[in-house]
Amino acid sequence: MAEVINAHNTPRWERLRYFIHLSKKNPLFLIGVGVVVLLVFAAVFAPWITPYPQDAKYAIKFISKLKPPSMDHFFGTDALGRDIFTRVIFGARMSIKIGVTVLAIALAIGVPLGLVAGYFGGRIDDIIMRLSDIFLAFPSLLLPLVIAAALGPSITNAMIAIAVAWFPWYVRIVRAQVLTVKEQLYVEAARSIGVSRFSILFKHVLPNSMAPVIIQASMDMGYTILTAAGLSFIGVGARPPTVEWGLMITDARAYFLDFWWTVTFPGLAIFVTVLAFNLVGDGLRDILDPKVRD
Amino acid sequence: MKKYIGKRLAFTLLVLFGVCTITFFVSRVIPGDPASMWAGPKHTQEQLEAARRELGLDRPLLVQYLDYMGNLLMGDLGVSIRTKQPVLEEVGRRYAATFELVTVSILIALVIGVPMGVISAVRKDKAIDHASRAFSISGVAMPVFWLGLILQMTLHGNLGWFPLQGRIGSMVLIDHPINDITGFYLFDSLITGNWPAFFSSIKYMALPALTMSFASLAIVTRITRSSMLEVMREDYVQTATAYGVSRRTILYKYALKNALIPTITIIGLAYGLMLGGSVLVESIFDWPGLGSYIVLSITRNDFPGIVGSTLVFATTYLTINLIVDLIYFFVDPRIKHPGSKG
Amino acid sequence: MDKPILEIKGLKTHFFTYNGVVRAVDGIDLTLNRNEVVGIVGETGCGKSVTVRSTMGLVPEPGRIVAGRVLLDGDNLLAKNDAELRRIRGRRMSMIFQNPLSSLNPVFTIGNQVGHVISIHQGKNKKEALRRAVETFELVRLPDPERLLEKYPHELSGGMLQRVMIAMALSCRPEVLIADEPTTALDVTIQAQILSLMLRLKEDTSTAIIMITHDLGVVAETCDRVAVMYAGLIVERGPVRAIFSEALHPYTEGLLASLPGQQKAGDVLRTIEGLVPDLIHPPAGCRFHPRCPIAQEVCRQEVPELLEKGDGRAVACHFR
Repeated sequence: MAEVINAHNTPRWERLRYFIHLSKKNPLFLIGVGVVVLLVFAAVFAPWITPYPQDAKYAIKFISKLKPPSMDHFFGTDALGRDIFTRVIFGARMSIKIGVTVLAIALAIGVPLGLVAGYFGGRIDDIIMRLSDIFLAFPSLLLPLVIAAALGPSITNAMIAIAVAWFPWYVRIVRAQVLTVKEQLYVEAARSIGVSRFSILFKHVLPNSMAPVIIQASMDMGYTILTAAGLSFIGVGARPPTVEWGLMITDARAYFLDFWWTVTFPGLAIFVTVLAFNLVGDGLRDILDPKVRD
Repeated sequence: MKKYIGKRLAFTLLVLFGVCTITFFVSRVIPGDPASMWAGPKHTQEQLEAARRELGLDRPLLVQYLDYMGNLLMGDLGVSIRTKQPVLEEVGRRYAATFELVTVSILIALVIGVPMGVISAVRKDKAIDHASRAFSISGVAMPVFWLGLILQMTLHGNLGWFPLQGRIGSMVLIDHPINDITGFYLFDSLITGNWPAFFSSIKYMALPALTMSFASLAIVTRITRSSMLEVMREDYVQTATAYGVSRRTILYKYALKNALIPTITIIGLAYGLMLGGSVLVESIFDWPGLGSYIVLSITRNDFPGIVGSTLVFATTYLTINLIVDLIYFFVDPRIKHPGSKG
Repeated sequence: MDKPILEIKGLKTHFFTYNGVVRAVDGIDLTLNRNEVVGIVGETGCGKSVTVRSTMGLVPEPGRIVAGRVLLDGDNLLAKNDAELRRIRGRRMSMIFQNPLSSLNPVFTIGNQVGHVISIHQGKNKKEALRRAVETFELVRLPDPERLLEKYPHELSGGMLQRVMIAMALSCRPEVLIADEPTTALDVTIQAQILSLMLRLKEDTSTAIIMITHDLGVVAETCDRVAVMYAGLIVERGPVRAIFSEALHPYTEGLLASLPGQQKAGDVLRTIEGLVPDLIHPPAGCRFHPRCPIAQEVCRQEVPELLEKGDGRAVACHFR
């Protein structure tokens, strides 16, 4: 009984089909992906899909200040009369930017360091790990806070601060994975036939170490946004006129008790965004982790 | 074992040293001139120069650093530029407030989270499981400062059940002052029988603690649930069933003890989250703790204050982690009595 | 003739999975007499474990017993509710498992676990139960039984742990002991010790034993009768001596022939061609026919019944 080999039987197709099959079994994952797509869409097309795009810049319209949600203003208006719905959408733009920038930097620094530490071991490993331990000794928000304050309040500086404070996590994750992969038989086999160390590093170790990184990074997209919002809330992150969700919330602190919408909607935006990325990360973990699969 | 503790302590000190160094240099870079703050408003140029000399700002940075570290080894955290008080004293006073809040929050997370996780695992895929999983997933996604504001809005603004800010009712503090034994209002008022102060403290702590514990509660529930599920699949659970042990005993005696081991690790993580979160929570609730202190220090370029409080935060975090690792050591017999395969 | 202590009649256990219904056990008849050791032998996946787990009601999800009766001294176990079954498990029927280390709870002491089993079935208090546990440890020849009470499972070797499991299994003097691959995870020398221990205990406590194994050597050493299982069905059954000297079913023949030691040096090792069948879509007719050297057209069409051949032997084949 000869096996017919066609384009749909080749391994890549099989993997993709299996991936889709697993995704379908995981509705939360799909919801998360859907929301993320929506978010990116909103971010990209913000100026064209919002009713009052000028409210994202310098507009001040005291006449319409602090109006509750209505058909004119879905999320109401803030103390300067700006449409909150519009600003939330523009905030999505900023959030995506934050997430991508921070992760790009953190991964660019963290992954290579983790690879080197895990693969070569010895002295280099010790130094890198000690440095990482120092960074990780700061409880959550503290290091980004101090660094952001040092650099001066701005959203760009906040992004740098978070990236610098976070890359050690990725060093740790990559290193742990590399340590396991390094011991796998296929690596030993490659070594035994004389493949160069760098070749092994890039062709075998790196691709197989990426799974936990991808999972963590997708969840961190959400957590970066959360942290940046926190920094803006305190005042060392985004400053006016930047449109950022955390900044919107802190601006509203003076009157939120009587005007609930000024705080609720930006916060809801953060919540939904982080939730979506968490669902995506969780779903990816279920799909990529062979132990959890059926 | 002693060797292990010794090694960990040495390691911790090394890390703390690194923390100090980084924080010192970073905080010295903060834009703004500490000298002008020290000299006070409306200072003359001479006063500014004098302030600069007094603070040692005219010397090379490296010298300043060595000076600071030297003082640190003798237990001197310097003087706050903002308040002109010794940092050690101020930090000490505020630390109790933060520590009390964080500990109560951890307790909330454990006391509610563990049972919820267990019930969720035992009644897997039923309504309560779905509800608790939904809660777990959303709990970590919620911005802590937003949650605080929402709670203030609803439970204070709309329902009036809880006060808006502060650690205790100001009238209560005047009429029924608390004996300062540990600095923990709840504990001190309890053991001195100071009921008005005790109940007032609880009322004021409710919203901040709820806000702070929310994310950790979600994590604890989740970890307990998955840990329970994993343990329930283990061979020894099957053995117990095969010997006629009742399901109840299997779950709450045999499985639970195993399942709780990973939860212990989470405690360390939760502490870290909460210590960092204290910065946000204390701002919202005007809680007179270390979190709000560090925010004040940052906004006023008070680098002794910044370094001092960061140091205390980091020390707490590292110590908690050390303690957690030691607890682990005692709880898991596989670590305590390494087997020799005879 | 004595009534059998355990009778399995027409047992069918199926697993209802996402990919289809796995017919793991598809109609088994087996009897166990008092004071006897019956072996169930077969390749991995043939259904031997599922069979014995079914008798004790320990089939995991998504499995379900869909037909049959299991009579313990005339009492149908499959008709009992959970509470009744719990009284029987560990008390009238016990089971020991393949991997003793993972079968015991790592965070409780040995004394705690064995003592607990004794106290729930015999209503003794803690001190009594522990004393009884020590007695049972002596029965299985464990050294220093009092100190053992305080130890944790990971502190003992595999062989000692298996003795502990046997002790636990026999502590309430059950009528039937089921041993599911008890020596597979052990060294060969320890294996011999454990097997001879089990045989001696069988004599001392008059417990009947069902021995599950894939190792024909174990069968030869310990069993009085044996049932050969393939793809969820029994294909041959009978006294061990008779089957070993002349197997009737082609599958049994193949198993015996593939034992190393049957050939002279330099000969090719004999194997059974083909692979274990898919139990969701088992082969039509006789399930062994794709791999059988004597298969004919009828084998593809009709399932052979397990027919008695006299002398206590039975075989399921159209031609034997």
